[in-house]
Amino acid sequence: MVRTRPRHLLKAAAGSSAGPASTDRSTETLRARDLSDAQFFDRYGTDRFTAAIVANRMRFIVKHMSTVLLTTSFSMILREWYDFAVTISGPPQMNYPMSTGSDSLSIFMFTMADAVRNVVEEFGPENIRPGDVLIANDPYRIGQHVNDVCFIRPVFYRGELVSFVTIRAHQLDMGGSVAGGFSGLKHNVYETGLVIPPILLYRDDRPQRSTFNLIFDNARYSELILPDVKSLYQSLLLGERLLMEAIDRYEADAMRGAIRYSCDIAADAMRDAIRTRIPDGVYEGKDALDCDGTADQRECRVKVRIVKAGDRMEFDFSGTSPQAAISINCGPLDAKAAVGVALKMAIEPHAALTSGCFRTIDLVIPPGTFISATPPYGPIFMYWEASFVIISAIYRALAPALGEDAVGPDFGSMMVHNGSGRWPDGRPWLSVSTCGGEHGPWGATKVADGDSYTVNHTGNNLDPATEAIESSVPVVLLRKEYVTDSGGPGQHRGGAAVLRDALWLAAAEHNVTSLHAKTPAGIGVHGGGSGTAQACWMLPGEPAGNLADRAVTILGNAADVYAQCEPVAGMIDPATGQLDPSGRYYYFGSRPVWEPGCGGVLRFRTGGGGGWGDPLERDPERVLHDVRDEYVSLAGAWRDYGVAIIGDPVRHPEALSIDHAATTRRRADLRAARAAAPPGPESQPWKP
Amino acid sequence: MQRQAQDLPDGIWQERKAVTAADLLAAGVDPASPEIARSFEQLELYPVLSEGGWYLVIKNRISLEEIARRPWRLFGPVELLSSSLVLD
Repeated sequence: MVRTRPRHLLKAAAGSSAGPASTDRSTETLRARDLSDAQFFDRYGTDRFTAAIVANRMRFIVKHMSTVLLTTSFSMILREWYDFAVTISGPPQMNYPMSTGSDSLSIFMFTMADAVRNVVEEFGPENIRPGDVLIANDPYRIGQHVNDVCFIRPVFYRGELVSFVTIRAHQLDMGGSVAGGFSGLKHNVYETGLVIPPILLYRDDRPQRSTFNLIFDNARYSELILPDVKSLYQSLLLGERLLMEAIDRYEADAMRGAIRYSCDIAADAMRDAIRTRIPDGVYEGKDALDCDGTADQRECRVKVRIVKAGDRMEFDFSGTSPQAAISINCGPLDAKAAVGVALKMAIEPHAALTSGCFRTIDLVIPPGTFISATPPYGPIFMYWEASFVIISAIYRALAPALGEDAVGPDFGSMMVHNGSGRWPDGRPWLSVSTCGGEHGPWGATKVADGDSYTVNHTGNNLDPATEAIESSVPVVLLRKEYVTDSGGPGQHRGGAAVLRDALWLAAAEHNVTSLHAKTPAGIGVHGGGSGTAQACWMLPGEPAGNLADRAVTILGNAADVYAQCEPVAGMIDPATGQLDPSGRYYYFGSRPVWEPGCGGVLRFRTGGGGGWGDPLERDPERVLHDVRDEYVSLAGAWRDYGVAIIGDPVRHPEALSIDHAATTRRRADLRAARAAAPPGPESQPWKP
Repeated sequence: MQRQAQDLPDGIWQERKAVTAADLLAAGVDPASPEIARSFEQLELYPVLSEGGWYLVIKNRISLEEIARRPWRLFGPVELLSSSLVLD
């Protein structure tokens, strides 16, 4: 589609038509839980008990819809990855409040409230009717990327539009220059894939052939997309039916009241957290993606200035770098979702995720930055990478205010792998987001060590089973193990980096997008140290052929194996090929595709999680267990924790012991050295 | 390769417009009221993204007190070329 370039904001505003009716920003400051029964009924049109019952009923509905989709979809990205989310939103006259979300991607749900409004308002609420399914996928209209299509089902009751059930679900392909789409090297919206404005997929519960053809004529793997869409449609029908049953039982007023009540509860919880967890003041933070695609040394830097006053917060992203020339940007709705995720992680993890979370929060986002990209030359695909640095910048900004409650980022960049090729009989295969560095560690908190293998902070989805991956594409996942001394040291240790080897059994094209390799993403908090940075290598195989009758070389993990490999991404010593913070930066986009060939290996090493608290305060017994379990080496225990461990952790792990006298002396020496000199870079948050 | 600060691109800044009496009147706020007059120099007009979408707000830059808020365009800074079509 063709769009105008963004106009100057304030000039444009003067002549623009107003958007939809404003959501009530609640001049009613009385919290829902503090209302008398009469006040509650006045505000919500139902009693407190019924509102709670219907709100719970809606949560059941989105979970049920999710289960249907998980168990009936065909593509791995839906059935094994859980790459979708389900929401319920209120009607236009309520300004589409999103009251209920499913268990999966929080970053989806935080954009879906705006997505439903934007799609329905553009299409025209007066133009929709029972039996419709509206779809759209434009990142600049509804957030995320073109593969994440929104399927919106209006729910009518006795002729009145009362709500929407919506699924945003990743489709295997949307056309564009790369099969599957996961590439950070696309240069405009025409390369990112088919853009779908708000259009009907079903009318009167009949499929609209022209819409299906629009997708099938542009997308690859349509024979898998079609049954997925049928599953999506059935899930929407289930949601509609269950909502209608609830309204039959409790009346439409109770449904509307429960939608508003759910949003108010979330708004109240966030407002309380803002007021009580963060002192009034101004907080600033930064983080950056490694490069913007024009030159590998030019970072995409996000800058946030947070003003907190009472129960309000304003996040001003002025000073953020211009949009990148490659598809690593995100849009403003994604930025908004990232702010929501950061606050949920940092200060208010308890209440349900609804559109009400933003009631006392404003984002100020200048257009044309890499977190507010504009079409057509601010391409958006790997949007989560920009989201991650927004979250990280907010964590960094708020860490001093949160003190011991501070949280650090996760592994920082998903280093997503995208591979495609053909089976010997000519059938195409596609591997998306399953054979790279997509899963990794979190930082530690005041409660515990960081987990070492999980999803990023914006997701809550699944890691596909190795068997499912290997049965779908010509790959053997040779290695999935933790890296010793990679988690940031701390009283609570950061999660360990993950080393993953994928042996490719056939020649194919591979895309790798590594965006936080120059510095560790997993910074330490409250005195903890940083984890290590991410990197990727390729061990070339044969240019073509099939491995069926050949011996396979297993890539070891000793230091000397890296000299055989080609660096793909990361800070790497050119001589040894090993990860080296002072080495040379290898840019993932130095080649349009990576071709390990038949029998080649792609090795991914995720970033490590940051530590929490002073590592010299970690119980030596826990350090002993870390050494036994190979999270920490003997040298690392001595260097980072000041603990002297005696024994052989590989051959006799249960015979390890602590030299307590040496430990006491070592820790005293380390504390004395700290007092004499400022902390070294290892214990300092990164400063660009 | 080391990062070089001089190579970093300049950031983009959101303009915050100084408020005029006309802006306040357009937002339904009496510019002559004593409260507004006292803080007039601290008032700014700019777009924000929040619950419910994009808005144009007038706020006190010191206290964040909100003087006015009205809905802005559906897609914020992005406009559809098709918006120029006469559809009816």
